[in-house]
Amino acid sequence: MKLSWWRWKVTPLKGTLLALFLVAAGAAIYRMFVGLGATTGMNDTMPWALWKTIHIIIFVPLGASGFTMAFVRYFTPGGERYEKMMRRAVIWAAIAYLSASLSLAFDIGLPWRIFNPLILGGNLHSPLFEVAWCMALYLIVLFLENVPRVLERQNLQWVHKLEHTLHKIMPGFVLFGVLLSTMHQSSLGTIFMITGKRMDPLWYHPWLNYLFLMTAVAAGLSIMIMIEGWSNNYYKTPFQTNLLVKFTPYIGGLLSAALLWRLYSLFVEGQIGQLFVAQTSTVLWWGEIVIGYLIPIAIFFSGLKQERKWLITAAILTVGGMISFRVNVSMIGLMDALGGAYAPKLGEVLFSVGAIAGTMVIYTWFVETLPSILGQDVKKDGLQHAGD
Amino acid sequence: MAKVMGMLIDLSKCMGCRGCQVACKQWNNLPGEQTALGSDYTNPQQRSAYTWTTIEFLTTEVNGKQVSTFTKGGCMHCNEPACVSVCIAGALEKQENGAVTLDHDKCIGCRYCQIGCPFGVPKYEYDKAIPKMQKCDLCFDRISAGMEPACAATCPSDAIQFGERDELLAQAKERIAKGNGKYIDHIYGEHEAGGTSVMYISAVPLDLTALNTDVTTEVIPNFTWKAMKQLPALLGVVATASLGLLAYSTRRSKLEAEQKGGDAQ
Repeated sequence: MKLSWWRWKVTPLKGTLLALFLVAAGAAIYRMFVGLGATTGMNDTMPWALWKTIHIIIFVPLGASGFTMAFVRYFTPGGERYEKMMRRAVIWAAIAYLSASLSLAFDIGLPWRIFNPLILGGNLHSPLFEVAWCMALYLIVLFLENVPRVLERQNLQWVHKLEHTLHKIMPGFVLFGVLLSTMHQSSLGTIFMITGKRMDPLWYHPWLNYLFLMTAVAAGLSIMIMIEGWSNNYYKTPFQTNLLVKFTPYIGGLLSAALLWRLYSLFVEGQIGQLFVAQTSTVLWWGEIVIGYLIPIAIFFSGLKQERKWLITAAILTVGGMISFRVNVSMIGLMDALGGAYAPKLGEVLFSVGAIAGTMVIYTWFVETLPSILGQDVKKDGLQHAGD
Repeated sequence: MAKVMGMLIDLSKCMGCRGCQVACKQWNNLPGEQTALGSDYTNPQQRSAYTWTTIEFLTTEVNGKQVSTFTKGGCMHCNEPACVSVCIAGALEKQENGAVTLDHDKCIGCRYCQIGCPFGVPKYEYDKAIPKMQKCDLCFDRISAGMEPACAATCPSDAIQFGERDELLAQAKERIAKGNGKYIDHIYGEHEAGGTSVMYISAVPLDLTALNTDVTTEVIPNFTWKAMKQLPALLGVVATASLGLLAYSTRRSKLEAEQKGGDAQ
């Protein structure tokens, strides 16, 4: 029996992901009845743990492909060539941000108050307040960036007019999205600056905010390369190496700059010796730097990048380096700074695994249901099949 | 403008009776907790959402002699509190009279204050389905009515003194000067965390007490504010660069279209 919903086909893999998503929903309901302490390992010494790290600190930069690709499409010369890629990027960003916001609701103590600071007013000095505002506004931008995928399939005259108008003013929304992303991607780093030098010297940086922004942009472009590789495998969309390698000097440049700045800061703080001490954090630092910075930089600045598999490998490593940086600051560094004791509990892990699985499976639903995301030219054949 | 109040805690006068712990629980209607014995007499072992202040016992051997200290731990009521600066909802507030208070109706439970506070003061009710953040509010209701906080009022040895911060600071300096070396020359809280309303003086070196001697003397809210105040400039740079690039791209595609003689459309 073949299961499908619209054009979306249920495969064993997608079925498994959906099942995990349902388990996460169960964990979320469980959390609502028994509270955070019974569901998660969080406690007074480690108030932010797996959920904040995965669903906000990591998921938001994973969605950075949205603003970077919209910028490439609408602001750079020859951006039209990136139109079809951008569609896959902005729908991913929208799903990733929705996933992040929904997961966050279960992490905060009183989920039903999640919009309160936005509605009733909050504290302008709080980096978290700024992140919340930017994410909420950016979700609107992402909605507008994606709505043409639905509008273009309609036959109605007024819808076409609306779509046309939207297309005209799109650069304005894209710029708004870029500014909002600049703010919240960097402010995710600002959040951890409140710990000051309580943070392990290896993760402490006087301008963590700019490092977060730089690695978010590098990761955003790398995720585009990953999405293209996956979409090429799975949906047989063309893998346009010639277009994707144009990102590599920027990704490589950002990674190099971030790495040099981190080394410079260690040097200025007189902590460079920490790189050669036998301790866990030093091993983690070297792991992050070698795998997430040095290897991708080497690939991006060599001829290897012209080969599909190396390009994708370097992109995956860049994203891995970003994730490692976030985990090191937000989990390992924070736990050390607070002197925290923490071990994740089963419900917490099930929720996170399922939320990630759900995010991926919902992404495939949108990609398969809205054909222009995979690059079918709706203006030519989409409208003829609009009745299906 | 109300006077900024505070407390001066003279650790040399504390006899470890824990009357302040009991008074705090009574006044704030805090439930009792299941406790366990630890290596010293501190009980409960940790402060929690239900225990806002404790006497922390610390016994150390110095030159073959045992030195026991009792430290009243709890909110320091910073002059510029980190918890207030990071609170997303504006639930935490530094009152004019010096108390750092928390509005449960505004708090959403993001727990960022627990990360910002260098003293680990705010505690959350992780065990509840509908939890609250809890912290000492310097008995805001009592001091607003002209009374002392419950812990200060109950202290039998006058180790906890309540009063105007400036006066207490002057008094602490005087006590250290007139003590003929009884006290160590350090008022904990004068500069710690940028200055706090609750201050300590001690007859033994502070690293023998439970006070956090690693705490910064910088104003902690500046750690994040220095980044946030650069945002307008950052946005200006990004916006200008983006619009410049857009103008260039538009002009280039126009020129390319002209060169191709309109076929490009």
